[in-house]
Amino acid sequence: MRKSLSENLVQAQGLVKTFGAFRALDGLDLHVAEGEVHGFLGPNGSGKSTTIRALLGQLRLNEGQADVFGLHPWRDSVEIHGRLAYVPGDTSLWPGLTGGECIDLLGGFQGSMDSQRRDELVERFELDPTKRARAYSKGNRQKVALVAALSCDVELFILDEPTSGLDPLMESVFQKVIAELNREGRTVLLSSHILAEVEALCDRVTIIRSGTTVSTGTLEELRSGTLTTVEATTGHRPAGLEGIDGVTDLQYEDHPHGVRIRLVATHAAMPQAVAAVTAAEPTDLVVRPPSLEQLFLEHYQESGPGVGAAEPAGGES
Amino acid sequence: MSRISSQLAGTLGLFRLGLRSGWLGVAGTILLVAGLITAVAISIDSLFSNLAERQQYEATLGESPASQAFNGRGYGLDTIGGITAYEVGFLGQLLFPLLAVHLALRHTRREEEAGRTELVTATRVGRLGPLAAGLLIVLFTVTAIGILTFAGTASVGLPLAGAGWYSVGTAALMLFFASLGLVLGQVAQSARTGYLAGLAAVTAAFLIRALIDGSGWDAVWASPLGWFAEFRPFGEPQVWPLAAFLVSAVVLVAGAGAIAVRRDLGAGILATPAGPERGRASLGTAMGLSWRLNRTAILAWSVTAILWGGVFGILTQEMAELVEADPTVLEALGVDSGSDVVTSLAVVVICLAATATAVQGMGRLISEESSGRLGTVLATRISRKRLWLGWWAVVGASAVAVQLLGCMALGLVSWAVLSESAAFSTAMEVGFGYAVPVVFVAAMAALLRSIGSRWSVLGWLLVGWIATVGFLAETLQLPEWARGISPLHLVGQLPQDELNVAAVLSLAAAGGALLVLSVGLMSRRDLAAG
Ligand SMILES: Nc1ncnc2c1ncn2[C@@H]1O[C@H](COP(=O)(O)OP(=O)(O)OP(=O)(O)O)[C@@H](O)[C@H]1O
Ligand SMILES: [Mg+2]
Repeated sequence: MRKSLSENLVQAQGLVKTFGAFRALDGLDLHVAEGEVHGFLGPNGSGKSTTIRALLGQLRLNEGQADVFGLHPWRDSVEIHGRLAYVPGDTSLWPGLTGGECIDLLGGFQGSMDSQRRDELVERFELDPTKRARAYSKGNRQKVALVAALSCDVELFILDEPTSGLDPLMESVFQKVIAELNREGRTVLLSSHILAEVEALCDRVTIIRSGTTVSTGTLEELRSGTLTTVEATTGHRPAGLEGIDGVTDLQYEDHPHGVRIRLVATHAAMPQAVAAVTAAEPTDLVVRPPSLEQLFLEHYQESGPGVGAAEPAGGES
Repeated sequence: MSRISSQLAGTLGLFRLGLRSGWLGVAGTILLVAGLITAVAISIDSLFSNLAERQQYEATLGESPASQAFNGRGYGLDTIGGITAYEVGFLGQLLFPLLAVHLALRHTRREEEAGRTELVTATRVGRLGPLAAGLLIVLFTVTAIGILTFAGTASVGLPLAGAGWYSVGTAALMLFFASLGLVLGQVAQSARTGYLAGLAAVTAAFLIRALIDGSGWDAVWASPLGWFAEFRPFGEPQVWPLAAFLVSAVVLVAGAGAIAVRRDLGAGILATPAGPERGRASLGTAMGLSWRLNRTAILAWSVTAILWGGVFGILTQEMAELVEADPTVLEALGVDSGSDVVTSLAVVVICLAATATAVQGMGRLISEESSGRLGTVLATRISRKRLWLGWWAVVGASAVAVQLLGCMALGLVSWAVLSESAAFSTAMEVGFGYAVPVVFVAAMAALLRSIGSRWSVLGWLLVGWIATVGFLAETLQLPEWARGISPLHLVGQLPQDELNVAAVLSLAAAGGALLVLSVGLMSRRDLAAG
């Protein structure tokens, strides 16, 4: 499932970063393959921004192996930075400069800004580049940072909650732009709390908690690791449900037309469970996979997901 | 009435909050002012214990127009207190007002700029609450300064009435400038703009007073710093300066309040106009960025240095006339020509502007780093080393430029009023002679900054120490090692002394080493945010 090492643009294994006694990263793994949009998720304070800043060489790791483009983030930071563009989580602009100046400032330092693309993005994001940064609204400040990063001709985009504060219209512009970039073969590492955005854009996701990776894989794979609810009304009690491995929470309730059944099944137990229910001639049958929210809530909660993750964290490729 | 009281809601809570978060600054201000005055008093008490010495002081330094220009008018100069007040004059008239403006801005505009005011005023805090809390902090601070100064000077043995008047005068002076700071905090949209405007106001007040006192014009009312000496605490005390300070302070505070109830939170009173749609290509370079972010401050310091140089250039003539009338003065002051006295003092101030440019320029990187902007820039192709060196090069070069511009103004104006070209070449020699110490301070600021943002404040202490050694080394009888902390002192007191070439070379080497060290530290540590 996971691509081989050589195709991973970002390769991080067992990252540890401590601030005094506090372990912000505690053995975190992250692998971003070339050409994918990789979602990076986790509760507040779980270490997403810290990971990203370490990958950018802003923080020095205490332990662990990290490389970006096969280079060392701290030693080769400048070489790495020439091939990526970054949108920080907390966008702060130079108060006295206009938005247009801020964009060109960053573009000048980056060195690979495509000025035609810059103008096009300014247009698409409906940004007024003549306003002073201190006069921008939060969303507009975010747009400045986005335009500055997305108009660079680079292989990798590292975006830390890039759409916080954007309105739904702009959110959809953002998704279109990212999809276009991805079609051109560019790689994106996207940290986000907006699940719809993650679902629309991401090929694979990594979920972390308290500085540790709890799961990583495609959304389907993550879903396959969670529980599906089955509800049905059947003429008679289905036989053999109790015996199926992975079926839990089985409930029967008498009903004028027969029996009402409710059960929870793992991905693996689904075919058998549904077959058993179907055999009992249901008059209605509802199979409900967990919503994205439920999926993430399970992974975010400190007690851990009720079922195994798609892939055990920390596994070698 | 109830409207006013509802607008003042929450003031006491904010006052306590301000003291808790800013106690270090408040305590530092109080101790610095009261401590400086007391230290000078102690020193004068031991230096001028007998009357004959004091009378000689009165007849020489007290009569010299250059000294009056720098220190303000002296009254009761045959008493310990009178000489103390006169000696505190120069540094005090710059330091006390600047501290007061800083205190006011720190507790009003800076909080607002950081967004904290927005948080607290969303609770049960009235529109005037933040301003009123800032005023309470000012009142608390100046009252404490008055009390401590009185305790300090009285304990040295100055007459109680004189010590009392002098303490009241100092507190009133600071109250006035803090009130000005409160107005600036309402008008300016950023604290930095406020500081620069405050610096301009203090410079203007000082120079107007210096011109009036140096020329002996009868116009002490024209500058608030002129009022300060007119308290005449150790001569025949006058009440009108107190009334003038208090009435002006009330007017200023009322003005600040009137603006505060009308303006939008987070805004000043000047709307920001739209700006260019594109940035110049130079903006995307280390030096371009440094220049763009520092240029307002650099221009402000340049203008300050030029004004200082120019005004003191004019005063060289007064000094020359005095020497012509009484050549023994030269010997008493230990100089070759009258204009040298002016040059040696004016150049200290010019060097302060230059070193302040350096420390402020490196300090600007604090907010760049803590806001994450530095991190964003460093996430591009530029290396930490290049950004650091490019930034420093602009800061260091500007500091030297400020220094040379100030000396050039001093030299040109003295040349014009004295018709002696030697005055110009002397001023420029002094300017170049102190260039290396200025660069050294810039390198020191870079090193302190590279260690971490908390350390930057030591750069300002160094600037303060240069001022103290420059103005008060003799008065405070500072030991040689303490004077040596000032890099200016190491190369000699120009133009009286010969330039110490060995010291210049060592300072240059040390500065280079500090800079290299700062690059090393900067490229090794974590960025604070980004
Ligand atoms: N410079 C620092 N000093 C001390 N602690 C820090 C520092 N930077 C981050 N932390 C801590 O590290 C942890 C991880 O922070 P990080 O910013 O990476 O979280 P995050 O996953 O990005 O959260 P969010 O979703 O809120 O952006 C937090 O508990 C934070 O308080
Ligand atoms: Mg974050």
